[in-house]
Amino acid sequence: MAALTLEPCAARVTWRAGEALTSEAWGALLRGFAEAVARRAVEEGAVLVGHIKGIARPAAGGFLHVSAVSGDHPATVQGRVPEGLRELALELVALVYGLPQSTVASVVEDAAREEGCSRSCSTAVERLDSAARFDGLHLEKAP
Amino acid sequence: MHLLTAAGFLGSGKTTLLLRLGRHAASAGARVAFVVNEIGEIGVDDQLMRQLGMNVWELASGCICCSLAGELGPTLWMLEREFRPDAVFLEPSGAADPRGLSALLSGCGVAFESVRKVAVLDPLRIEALFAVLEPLITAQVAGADVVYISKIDSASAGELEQARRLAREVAPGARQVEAGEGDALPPGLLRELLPWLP
Repeated sequence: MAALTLEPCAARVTWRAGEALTSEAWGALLRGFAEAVARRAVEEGAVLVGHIKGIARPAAGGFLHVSAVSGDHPATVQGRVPEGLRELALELVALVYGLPQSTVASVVEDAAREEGCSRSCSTAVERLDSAARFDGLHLEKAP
Repeated sequence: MHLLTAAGFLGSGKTTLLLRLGRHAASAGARVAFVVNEIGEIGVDDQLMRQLGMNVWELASGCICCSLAGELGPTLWMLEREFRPDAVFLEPSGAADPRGLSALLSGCGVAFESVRKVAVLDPLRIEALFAVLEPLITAQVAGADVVYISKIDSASAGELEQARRLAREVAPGARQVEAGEGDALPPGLLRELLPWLP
Protein backbone atom coordinates (compact mmCIF):
# COMPACT_ATOMS: atom_id res chain seq x y z
CA MET A 1 0.00 0.00 0.00
CA ALA A 2 1.26 3.49 -0.81
CA ALA A 3 2.22 5.78 2.03
CA LEU A 4 -0.79 7.37 3.70
CA THR A 5 0.28 10.95 3.20
CA LEU A 6 -1.68 13.92 2.01
CA GLU A 7 0.05 16.46 -0.19
CA PRO A 8 -2.45 19.13 -1.25
CA CYS A 9 -2.27 20.17 -4.87
CA ALA A 10 -3.65 23.51 -6.03
CA ALA A 11 -3.98 24.83 -9.55
CA ARG A 12 -5.73 27.39 -11.69
CA VAL A 13 -7.19 25.83 -14.83
CA THR A 14 -8.39 28.09 -17.63
CA TRP A 15 -10.45 26.82 -20.53
CA ARG A 16 -11.07 28.94 -23.61
CA ALA A 17 -13.89 27.86 -25.90
CA GLY A 18 -14.15 28.52 -29.62
CA GLU A 19 -17.69 29.72 -29.13
CA ALA A 20 -19.73 31.18 -26.29
CA LEU A 21 -20.98 28.53 -23.86
CA THR A 22 -23.98 28.39 -21.60
CA SER A 23 -23.73 28.13 -17.84
CA GLU A 24 -24.94 24.53 -18.12
CA ALA A 25 -22.17 23.70 -20.60
CA TRP A 26 -19.50 25.16 -18.32
CA GLY A 27 -21.01 23.26 -15.41
CA ALA A 28 -20.88 20.02 -17.39
CA LEU A 29 -17.24 20.67 -18.24
CA LEU A 30 -16.37 21.20 -14.56
CA ARG A 31 -18.29 18.09 -13.55
CA GLY A 32 -16.50 15.98 -16.14
CA PHE A 33 -13.14 17.42 -15.14
CA ALA A 34 -13.57 16.79 -11.40
CA GLU A 35 -14.76 13.24 -12.02
CA ALA A 36 -11.80 12.64 -14.33
CA VAL A 37 -9.35 13.88 -11.69
CA ALA A 38 -10.84 11.53 -9.09
CA ARG A 39 -10.91 8.59 -11.50
CA ARG A 40 -7.36 9.16 -12.77
CA ALA A 41 -6.04 9.57 -9.21
CA VAL A 42 -7.38 6.13 -8.35
CA GLU A 43 -5.83 4.71 -11.53
CA GLU A 44 -2.49 6.20 -10.47
CA GLY A 45 -2.67 4.32 -7.18
CA ALA A 46 -4.28 6.78 -4.76
CA VAL A 47 -5.15 5.15 -1.44
CA LEU A 48 -8.15 7.41 -1.10
CA VAL A 49 -9.60 10.43 -2.87
CA GLY A 50 -10.19 12.99 -0.15
CA HIS A 51 -11.78 15.89 -1.97
CA ILE A 52 -11.48 17.42 -5.42
CA LYS A 53 -13.05 20.86 -5.19
CA GLY A 54 -12.87 24.12 -7.03
CA ILE A 55 -14.58 27.39 -7.70
CA ALA A 56 -14.80 29.60 -10.78
CA ARG A 57 -15.67 33.26 -10.27
CA PRO A 58 -15.67 35.04 -13.64
CA ALA A 59 -15.30 38.80 -13.70
CA ALA A 60 -18.71 38.98 -15.36
CA GLY A 61 -20.29 37.70 -12.15
CA GLY A 62 -21.73 34.51 -10.75
CA PHE A 63 -19.83 31.41 -9.74
CA LEU A 64 -19.63 27.68 -10.32
CA HIS A 65 -18.50 25.37 -7.53
CA VAL A 66 -17.56 21.77 -8.23
CA SER A 67 -16.95 18.94 -5.79
CA ALA A 68 -15.98 15.29 -6.26
CA VAL A 69 -15.15 12.79 -3.54
CA SER A 70 -14.46 9.58 -5.42
CA GLY A 71 -14.13 8.07 -8.85
CA ASP A 72 -17.33 6.12 -8.31
CA HIS A 73 -19.79 8.87 -7.48
CA PRO A 74 -20.87 11.79 -9.67
CA ALA A 75 -19.41 15.20 -8.95
CA THR A 76 -21.76 17.96 -7.86
CA VAL A 77 -21.90 21.44 -9.35
CA GLN A 78 -23.65 24.43 -7.88
CA GLY A 79 -24.06 28.04 -8.92
CA ARG A 80 -24.37 29.76 -12.27
CA VAL A 81 -22.26 31.98 -14.48
CA PRO A 82 -23.54 34.46 -17.07
CA GLU A 83 -24.59 32.99 -20.40
CA GLY A 84 -22.22 33.33 -23.30
CA LEU A 85 -18.82 33.15 -21.58
CA ARG A 86 -15.97 32.07 -23.83
CA GLU A 87 -13.48 31.54 -21.03
CA LEU A 88 -13.62 30.17 -17.51
CA ALA A 89 -10.88 29.92 -14.88
CA LEU A 90 -11.25 27.39 -12.08
CA GLU A 91 -9.27 27.48 -8.86
CA LEU A 92 -8.89 23.88 -7.79
CA VAL A 93 -7.63 21.99 -4.76
CA ALA A 94 -7.02 18.26 -5.06
CA LEU A 95 -6.67 16.42 -1.75
CA VAL A 96 -5.62 12.85 -2.46
CA TYR A 97 -4.14 10.38 0.00
CA GLY A 98 -1.20 8.27 -1.03
CA LEU A 99 0.07 10.13 -4.11
CA PRO A 100 2.92 12.65 -4.23
CA GLN A 101 1.97 16.19 -5.14
CA SER A 102 3.76 15.93 -8.47
CA THR A 103 1.64 12.95 -9.50
CA VAL A 104 -1.58 14.68 -8.44
CA ALA A 105 -0.51 17.74 -10.42
CA SER A 106 0.01 15.59 -13.52
CA VAL A 107 -3.39 14.01 -13.01
CA VAL A 108 -4.99 17.45 -12.78
CA GLU A 109 -3.22 18.69 -15.90
CA ASP A 110 -4.03 15.60 -17.97
CA ALA A 111 -7.68 15.61 -16.89
CA ALA A 112 -8.00 19.34 -17.62
CA ARG A 113 -6.59 18.96 -21.14
CA GLU A 114 -8.65 15.86 -21.85
CA GLU A 115 -11.88 17.51 -20.74
CA GLY A 116 -11.05 20.70 -22.63
CA CYS A 117 -10.19 18.78 -25.78
CA SER A 118 -13.45 16.81 -25.66
CA ARG A 119 -15.34 20.10 -25.62
CA SER A 120 -13.20 21.93 -28.19
CA CYS A 121 -11.61 24.22 -25.61
CA SER A 122 -7.98 25.20 -25.27
CA THR A 123 -6.60 24.57 -21.77
CA ALA A 124 -4.01 26.29 -19.62
CA VAL A 125 -2.94 24.96 -16.21
CA GLU A 126 -1.01 26.98 -13.65
CA ARG A 127 0.18 25.31 -10.48
CA LEU A 128 -0.48 27.29 -7.33
CA ASP A 129 0.75 24.93 -4.66
CA SER A 130 3.87 25.52 -2.65
CA ALA A 131 6.60 23.05 -1.86
CA ALA A 132 4.98 22.46 1.52
CA ARG A 133 4.47 18.83 2.36
CA PHE A 134 1.93 17.66 4.91
CA ASP A 135 3.42 14.37 5.92
CA GLY A 136 0.86 12.21 7.63
CA LEU A 137 -1.14 15.21 8.69
CA HIS A 138 -3.23 14.02 11.62
CA LEU A 139 -3.37 10.61 10.11
CA GLU A 140 -2.96 7.27 11.75
CA LYS A 141 -2.93 4.03 9.83
CA ALA A 142 -5.63 1.64 10.81
CA PRO A 143 -4.16 -1.47 12.45
CA MET B 1 -20.93 34.45 21.57
CA HIS B 2 -22.03 30.91 20.78
CA LEU B 3 -19.83 28.37 19.01
CA LEU B 4 -20.74 25.57 16.62
CA THR B 5 -18.00 23.26 15.33
CA ALA B 6 -18.40 20.83 12.44
CA ALA B 7 -16.08 17.83 12.24
CA GLY B 8 -16.03 15.30 9.46
CA PHE B 9 -13.87 13.95 6.71
CA LEU B 10 -13.00 15.80 3.52
CA GLY B 11 -16.03 16.13 1.28
CA SER B 12 -18.47 14.78 3.85
CA GLY B 13 -20.76 17.81 3.62
CA LYS B 14 -19.60 20.09 6.44
CA THR B 15 -19.63 23.26 4.35
CA THR B 16 -23.03 22.48 2.90
CA LEU B 17 -24.52 21.86 6.35
CA LEU B 18 -22.96 24.97 7.90
CA LEU B 19 -24.15 27.11 5.01
CA ARG B 20 -27.71 25.87 5.47
CA LEU B 21 -27.52 26.48 9.21
CA GLY B 22 -26.02 29.89 8.57
CA ARG B 23 -28.83 30.87 6.25
CA HIS B 24 -31.36 29.72 8.81
CA ALA B 25 -29.67 31.70 11.57
CA ALA B 26 -29.37 34.79 9.39
CA SER B 27 -33.04 34.59 8.46
CA ALA B 28 -33.81 34.64 12.19
CA GLY B 29 -31.76 37.81 12.55
CA ALA B 30 -28.59 36.30 13.98
CA ARG B 31 -25.14 37.60 13.12
CA VAL B 32 -22.93 34.64 12.24
CA ALA B 33 -19.20 34.53 11.53
CA PHE B 34 -17.69 31.55 9.74
CA VAL B 35 -14.13 30.49 10.51
CA VAL B 36 -12.90 28.07 7.87
CA ASN B 37 -9.69 26.07 7.92
CA GLU B 38 -8.36 24.56 4.71
CA ILE B 39 -5.05 22.84 4.23
CA GLY B 40 -4.56 23.65 0.56
CA GLU B 41 -2.93 26.77 -0.84
CA ILE B 42 -6.31 27.97 -2.11
CA GLY B 43 -9.38 28.41 0.02
CA VAL B 44 -12.36 27.08 -1.93
CA ASP B 45 -14.91 26.80 0.87
CA ASP B 46 -14.41 30.38 2.02
CA GLN B 47 -14.86 31.66 -1.52
CA LEU B 48 -18.09 29.70 -1.83
CA MET B 49 -19.36 31.03 1.48
CA ARG B 50 -18.58 34.60 0.47
CA GLN B 51 -20.38 34.10 -2.82
CA LEU B 52 -23.41 33.08 -0.79
CA GLY B 53 -23.25 36.19 1.36
CA MET B 54 -21.63 34.82 4.50
CA ASN B 55 -19.06 36.58 6.74
CA VAL B 56 -15.97 34.42 6.51
CA TRP B 57 -12.52 34.34 8.11
CA GLU B 58 -10.10 31.89 6.58
CA LEU B 59 -7.23 30.02 8.24
CA ALA B 60 -5.43 28.53 5.26
CA SER B 61 -2.40 26.45 4.30
CA GLY B 62 -2.24 24.42 7.47
CA CYS B 63 -4.26 22.76 10.16
CA ILE B 64 -5.77 24.54 13.15
CA CYS B 65 -5.08 21.50 15.30
CA CYS B 66 -1.32 21.74 14.72
CA SER B 67 0.50 24.13 12.36
CA LEU B 68 -2.11 26.88 12.70
CA ALA B 69 -3.04 26.20 16.31
CA GLY B 70 -1.67 29.57 17.37
CA GLU B 71 -3.94 31.44 14.97
CA LEU B 72 -7.30 30.12 16.08
CA GLY B 73 -7.44 31.80 19.47
CA PRO B 74 -6.48 35.29 18.24
CA THR B 75 -8.96 34.98 15.39
CA LEU B 76 -11.83 34.12 17.76
CA TRP B 77 -10.73 36.81 20.20
CA MET B 78 -10.65 39.41 17.41
CA LEU B 79 -14.05 38.32 16.14
CA GLU B 80 -15.61 38.66 19.57
CA ARG B 81 -14.32 42.19 20.01
CA GLU B 82 -14.51 43.61 16.52
CA PHE B 83 -17.27 41.75 14.67
CA ARG B 84 -19.39 40.89 17.69
CA PRO B 85 -21.24 37.92 16.20
CA ASP B 86 -24.03 36.07 17.92
CA ALA B 87 -22.32 32.86 16.87
CA VAL B 88 -19.18 31.51 15.26
CA PHE B 89 -19.45 28.49 12.99
CA LEU B 90 -16.04 26.79 12.94
CA GLU B 91 -15.15 24.36 10.17
CA PRO B 92 -11.83 22.57 10.70
CA SER B 93 -10.22 20.86 7.75
CA GLY B 94 -11.62 17.43 7.00
CA ALA B 95 -8.15 15.99 7.49
CA ALA B 96 -8.02 17.34 11.03
CA ASP B 97 -8.16 15.26 14.16
CA PRO B 98 -10.54 17.23 16.38
CA ARG B 99 -9.26 15.76 19.63
CA GLY B 100 -6.91 18.69 20.14
CA LEU B 101 -9.51 21.26 19.25
CA SER B 102 -11.38 21.20 22.57
CA ALA B 103 -8.24 22.09 24.51
CA LEU B 104 -7.45 24.88 22.04
CA LEU B 105 -10.93 26.32 22.39
CA SER B 106 -11.00 26.16 26.15
CA GLY B 107 -7.68 27.95 26.31
CA CYS B 108 -8.31 30.58 23.68
CA GLY B 109 -9.46 33.29 26.05
CA VAL B 110 -12.99 33.55 24.73
CA ALA B 111 -15.86 32.60 27.02
CA PHE B 112 -18.48 31.00 24.80
CA GLU B 113 -22.10 31.09 25.92
CA SER B 114 -22.57 27.64 24.42
CA VAL B 115 -20.53 25.14 22.41
CA ARG B 116 -22.20 22.59 20.16
CA LYS B 117 -20.40 19.96 18.10
CA VAL B 118 -21.73 18.28 15.01
CA ALA B 119 -19.97 15.44 13.21
CA VAL B 120 -20.84 14.96 9.54
CA LEU B 121 -20.70 11.42 8.24
CA ASP B 122 -20.67 10.60 4.51
CA PRO B 123 -22.37 7.22 4.09
CA LEU B 124 -21.26 6.88 0.45
CA ARG B 125 -17.61 6.33 1.35
CA ILE B 126 -17.87 4.91 4.82
CA GLU B 127 -16.42 1.53 3.95
CA ALA B 128 -13.43 3.01 2.09
CA LEU B 129 -12.81 5.57 4.83
CA PHE B 130 -12.92 3.00 7.56
CA ALA B 131 -10.55 0.71 5.68
CA VAL B 132 -7.69 3.24 5.73
CA LEU B 133 -8.59 6.01 8.19
CA GLU B 134 -10.57 4.37 10.96
CA PRO B 135 -8.83 6.23 13.83
CA LEU B 136 -9.38 9.61 12.19
CA ILE B 137 -13.01 8.97 11.31
CA THR B 138 -13.71 7.64 14.78
CA ALA B 139 -12.07 10.68 16.38
CA GLN B 140 -14.15 13.03 14.24
CA VAL B 141 -17.41 11.36 15.31
CA ALA B 142 -16.61 10.75 18.98
CA GLY B 143 -17.65 13.51 21.32
CA ALA B 144 -20.19 15.04 18.97
CA ASP B 145 -23.51 16.30 20.27
CA VAL B 146 -25.07 15.46 16.93
CA VAL B 147 -24.01 13.03 14.21
CA TYR B 148 -25.38 14.25 10.90
CA ILE B 149 -25.50 11.56 8.22
CA SER B 150 -25.43 13.40 4.91
CA LYS B 151 -26.24 12.45 1.30
CA ILE B 152 -28.86 9.87 2.30
CA ASP B 153 -30.66 10.42 -0.99
CA SER B 154 -27.64 8.92 -2.79
CA ALA B 155 -26.74 6.18 -0.30
CA SER B 156 -27.72 2.53 -0.46
CA ALA B 157 -29.55 0.87 2.42
CA GLY B 158 -26.34 -0.95 3.35
CA GLU B 159 -24.26 2.23 3.37
CA LEU B 160 -26.84 3.98 5.51
CA GLU B 161 -26.94 1.15 8.01
CA GLN B 162 -23.14 1.18 8.27
CA ALA B 163 -23.18 4.90 8.99
CA ARG B 164 -25.95 4.54 11.58
CA ARG B 165 -24.10 1.71 13.30
CA LEU B 166 -20.87 3.70 13.41
CA ALA B 167 -22.66 6.68 14.89
CA ARG B 168 -24.34 4.52 17.54
CA GLU B 169 -21.14 2.76 18.50
CA VAL B 170 -18.75 5.70 18.50
CA ALA B 171 -21.03 8.43 19.79
CA PRO B 172 -23.76 6.62 21.71
CA GLY B 173 -24.92 9.75 23.47
CA ALA B 174 -25.23 11.84 20.34
CA ARG B 175 -28.44 12.64 18.55
CA GLN B 176 -28.47 11.05 15.12
CA VAL B 177 -29.93 13.05 12.24
CA GLU B 178 -30.08 12.22 8.55
CA ALA B 179 -30.80 14.31 5.48
CA GLY B 180 -30.26 14.37 1.75
CA GLU B 181 -28.90 17.20 -0.36
CA GLY B 182 -32.32 18.59 -1.17
CA ASP B 183 -34.06 17.86 2.10
CA ALA B 184 -35.14 20.54 4.54
CA LEU B 185 -33.08 20.57 7.71
CA PRO B 186 -34.95 18.63 10.39
CA PRO B 187 -36.36 20.93 13.12
CA GLY B 188 -34.75 18.73 15.77
CA LEU B 189 -31.35 19.41 14.23
CA LEU B 190 -31.89 23.15 14.36
CA ARG B 191 -32.96 23.03 18.01
CA GLU B 192 -29.98 20.85 18.87
CA LEU B 193 -27.31 22.89 17.08
CA LEU B 194 -28.73 26.38 17.36
CA PRO B 195 -30.47 26.25 20.75
CA TRP B 196 -29.87 29.96 21.26
CA LEU B 197 -32.02 30.98 18.31
CA PRO B 198 -35.43 32.32 19.26
